[in-house]
Amino acid sequence: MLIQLDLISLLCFYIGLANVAQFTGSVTSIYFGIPGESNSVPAVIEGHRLSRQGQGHSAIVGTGLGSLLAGTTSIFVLMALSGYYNSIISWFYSINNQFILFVTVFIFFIILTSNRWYTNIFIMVFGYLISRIGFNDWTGEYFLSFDNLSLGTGIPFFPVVLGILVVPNLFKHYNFELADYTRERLSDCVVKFFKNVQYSFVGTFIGMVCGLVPAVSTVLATNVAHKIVRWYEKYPNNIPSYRALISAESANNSAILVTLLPLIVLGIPITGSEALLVSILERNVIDLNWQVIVDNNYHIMLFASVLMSLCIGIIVSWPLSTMLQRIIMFAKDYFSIVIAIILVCCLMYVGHTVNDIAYYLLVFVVFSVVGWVCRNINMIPFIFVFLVQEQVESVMIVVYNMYI
Amino acid sequence: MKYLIVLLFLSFGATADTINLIVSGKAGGTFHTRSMMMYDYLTHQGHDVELINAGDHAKSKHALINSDTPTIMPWMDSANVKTLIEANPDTFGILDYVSPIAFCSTKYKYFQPDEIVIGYSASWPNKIFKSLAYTIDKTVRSIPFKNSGQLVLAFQTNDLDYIAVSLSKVKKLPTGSCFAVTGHLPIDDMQPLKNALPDYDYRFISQHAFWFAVNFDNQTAIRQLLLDAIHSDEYSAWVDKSKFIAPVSIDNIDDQLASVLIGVDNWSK
Repeated sequence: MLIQLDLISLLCFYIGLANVAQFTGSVTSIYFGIPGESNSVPAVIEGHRLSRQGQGHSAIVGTGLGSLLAGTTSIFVLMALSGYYNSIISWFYSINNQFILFVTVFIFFIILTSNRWYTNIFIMVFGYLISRIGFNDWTGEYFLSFDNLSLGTGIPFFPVVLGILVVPNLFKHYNFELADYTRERLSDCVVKFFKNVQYSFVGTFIGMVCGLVPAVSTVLATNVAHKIVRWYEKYPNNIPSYRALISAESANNSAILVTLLPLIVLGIPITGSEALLVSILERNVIDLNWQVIVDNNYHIMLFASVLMSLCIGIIVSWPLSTMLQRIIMFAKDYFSIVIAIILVCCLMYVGHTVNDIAYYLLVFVVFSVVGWVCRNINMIPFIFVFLVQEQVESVMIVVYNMYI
Repeated sequence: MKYLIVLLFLSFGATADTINLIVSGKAGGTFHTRSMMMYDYLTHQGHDVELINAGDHAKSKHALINSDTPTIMPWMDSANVKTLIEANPDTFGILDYVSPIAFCSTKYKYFQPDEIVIGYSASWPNKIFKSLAYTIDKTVRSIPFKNSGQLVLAFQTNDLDYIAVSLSKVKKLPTGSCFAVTGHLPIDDMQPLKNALPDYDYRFISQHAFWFAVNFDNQTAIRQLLLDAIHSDEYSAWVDKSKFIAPVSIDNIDDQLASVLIGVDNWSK
């Protein structure tokens, strides 16, 4: 069906989908602790703990409003800067600036994450090595794959994050008395958000900066925003932070829009889904760049489409939240079993898409054990390095070849 | 009537076998695009096609060599650097297209400065640029990038003096920035590199995209079918837009295979 669409229809469809997915992804992260995507990790950490304390609906409302605020702010800033897109890309994508940004973020993670600094370094190195398994484009060789076909493709993200983050949560207590959906009124949730709105703006700003880091923009944005607010609040590790959650989710939506710049301005895809979109455009022999968009007066429609999709995200996520709360209350006696079944089904589906269900299940089991053993350690640095390894390696190798 | 029924049965039987189509690359890449266009054409023509989403080169190889039913798979000579699959007269289907390499710069024309900083895709062999340094007798600092998308982005930042890039990416670069192409013929404003550097070892290096076709009773028939697909409206529009050079017939299959094998040797590290 997508093959039949023209440029503006495809762009509106893609941006709409990307925006709405951020809202619905938060819902599963918060209620079930199942990340909708790689940038939902802070939502799993903070949101699911809030949900277990009966603040699931206010978390959904807060992340929804934060995402709306971030998306709207970002799109107006992007509109105002439309004459400078080439300069922005030229400055932010310069290899020196990317290098400085990554070094800063790494130091930041080592110092500010709640573990001891040497523990952080250890789990970050562990994350790097695990992520490096498989074929390496730089060396042209396989690393620790032992001639195994599945290992040769690398360790997949989804079973790792489920094992490390979700499984340890399955064994923790879920307070169903507090989770009663009638306890949280919508108006209270909205008031709570506006009392903390400054953290959403912090996330928005971080998202706009991190959005210009290719391939890992949203992961970087959500993690940095989450970590900064956590550090500022100085909460103990076991207390969930509503402010860190809305900051991270605001950063996510802001970064999602900014990361589209190379696609919209130059027609260069950064993420896998963007590559798919470009592939469809190329099959239809359609050019995509900012000049084409302006020449056809598509830019106003694009901006309107972004605003509309943000509103749709809110409209979809709030009733979905109430519905899920009812389901949770209904199934409270079997909650852990229900979550486990959903987990395995999701895992098998994702494994099926790459014809490797057994491998995905095996990785899940192994990392569930790792997650259980490390349940008292903050594993965010591991997940972060696991996700950004390729991009970090890429920046380091380019810098090395250019200057050394 | 009886003969007609037998004839109909036989003609149906010739095409009724399911063709397995191994999708040997991830969505967004040319392997995936080619697979999808081929799938659309074959199913539109009434063939029963089963897509096998290998998603990775190593798994694609595994699926191809373990297949015992009619199977086709898109491939490229430069992909053999990562996963070696030997093409021979029994497995080679047809040449899909040839894609020369473009040399681009917004700072200079040809290779004027004393030290040249040139970016390229990490999957390419560095020997191309060592040979360039030897030919022009200048220092060439070659910078590998993870993929062509990041290479194009780096080009926009002015971190690089030059880039060597696949022809399909030229349209994403500033107009007029690409000044030379490998191969024998000029393409748009890009002149053949052999004119300026007649002694350069890799002046003719190009990427050869082709199809594997295995376990077919009639290799000529499947080659003709693949050629028809390549000449279909959608496929040829994509090839033309990308400035690729497509084959015109299957009469020179031996030459096509020979050019692919030379390509495999050129792209080896």
